[in-house]
Amino acid sequence: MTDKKTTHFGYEEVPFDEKADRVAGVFHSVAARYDLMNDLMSGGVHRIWKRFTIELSAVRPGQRVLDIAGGTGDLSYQFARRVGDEGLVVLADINASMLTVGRDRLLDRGTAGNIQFAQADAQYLPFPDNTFDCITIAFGLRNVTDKDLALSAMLRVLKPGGRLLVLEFSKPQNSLLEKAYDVYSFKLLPLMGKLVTNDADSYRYLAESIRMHPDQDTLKAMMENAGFVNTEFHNLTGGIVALHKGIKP
Amino acid sequence: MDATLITGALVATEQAINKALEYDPASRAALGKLNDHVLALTLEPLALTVYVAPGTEAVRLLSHFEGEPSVHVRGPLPALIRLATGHQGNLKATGAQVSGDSGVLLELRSVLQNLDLDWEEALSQLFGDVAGHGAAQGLRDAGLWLRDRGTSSRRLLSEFMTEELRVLPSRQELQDYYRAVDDVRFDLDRVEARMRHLAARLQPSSPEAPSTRRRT
Repeated sequence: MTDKKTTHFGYEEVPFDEKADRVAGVFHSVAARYDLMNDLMSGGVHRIWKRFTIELSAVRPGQRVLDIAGGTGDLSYQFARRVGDEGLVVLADINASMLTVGRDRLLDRGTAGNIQFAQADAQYLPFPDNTFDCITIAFGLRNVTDKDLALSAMLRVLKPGGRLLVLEFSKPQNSLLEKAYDVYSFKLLPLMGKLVTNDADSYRYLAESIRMHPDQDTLKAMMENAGFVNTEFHNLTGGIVALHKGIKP
Repeated sequence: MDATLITGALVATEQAINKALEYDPASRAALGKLNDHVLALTLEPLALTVYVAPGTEAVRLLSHFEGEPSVHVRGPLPALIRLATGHQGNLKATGAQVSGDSGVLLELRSVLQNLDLDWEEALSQLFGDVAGHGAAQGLRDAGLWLRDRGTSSRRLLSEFMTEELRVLPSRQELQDYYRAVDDVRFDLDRVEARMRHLAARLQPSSPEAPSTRRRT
C-alpha cells in the first residue's frame, strides 16, 4: 500500500506531483485557440466577467499589479492601460505556451514599457514580500495543485492593504440553472472542443475541474485561513462564476 | 440584480457612446476637459448606481467605483431624463437630487445636448466615400421631405377643421372674439369707475357731494 499524496485532475485522482504536468498538457494543447474557445464556450460573457474584475480591482495609476495565470493577457492589457507609465503589470503563467501567446498579443496591441512577463508557479511566486497592490487570478486557481499554498504565496507578495481577486467557475445558485449547466458542460463543451481544437479531452477536463473546485463559501473560508481579511464574493451569471475578493491586513 | 447583466448593459452602452463620439470630435474634446471627474447616477427605485467617467480617449461607465464622485445625482428615471434633456438652470425643478459639484453636471449636460454627430463620416466608413456620401444625401433629403410633409400636414389639417368642418374658429374670428371680450372688459371698467365716482358724490361728507358744493 502506498501513502503517496494524491489530488484531483478533473474526476481523476492523480499523484500530487503529476497534476502540474497534466494541466500543462491541457493548456499546451489549447493555447493557440484559447480565446476563440472562451468566446464560443461563454458566448462572449467571459469578457463581462473580466470587466467586472477590473472594476473591482480599483487599480489606479502608478500601482503594481500581478496577473497570475494571465494566459492570453486579457486582464493585463486593461491593467497596463490603468496603471500608466509609472505603474507595472506582471503577466505570470506557469505554462510557456500560454505565456507566449499572451506576450505576443500584448506586444502586437502596443502594450509595452510597463509590462513584464514571468513564467511562474502560483504556489512559489518568485517575487519579494509586499510587492504588489493588486493580484488577480482568473480561471486559474482550480488548476493549481495546492490552492492553500498558492493563496499563502499571494498573501506574501501583496502589500499590506493590497487586494486579491479570484475569478473562477463556481456553483450555480439555482437548481434549474445547475441542471442546464451540467448538460452544457458535459455534452456540448467536449463536442465544441472536438470541433474547434480537435481536443475533446481537454474540454472534458475543464468541465470536471469546475465541478471539483471549491464552492463560493469554501473558497472564501480558504482565503480567510490563508490570512486575508474583509473577504467577500460576488456571484456572476447566477453563480456559474464567482469573483472573490480579500485584503491583506 | 446579477452583476453580469448590469456590467453587460454598461459595456454595450459605453461602446455605443464611444462609437458615437468618434464622429463628434468637439464633444470628445469637451469631455476630455472633465477627465478627472466622475459623475454618480443613482436610479432610485432600483437602487442602481452607475458611475460615468469621461476621459480624453473615451467615456467609461462603471458599476463599481471606490473614490468620491465629483457629483452625485439621485432620482427616478423621468427626473433623470428631465435633467439630461432640460434647459432650465433650476436643477431642483427636475425632481432629481444633486449633491457635489453641479458645475460638472451642467458641463456634461451641455456636451450631451450639443452632440453633433457627423453621420456622413460614419456612413462613409461603412460604405466607402462615394456610397457614404450618397447615403447621407439620401438621408438628408428624406429628413427634409419628412419635415416639409409634417409642416404641410399640420397646415392642411388646420384648414380642414376650420374651413370645411367649421369645428374650430379661424384665427381672424378668434382675434375678433378676443377684441370683443376686451371691449366689454374695458366698458365694464369704465362703468365701475363711473359708479364709484357717483357713489362718492352722494356721500354727505364728500367734498364733491351736491349739498356741500359751493355755487359760483
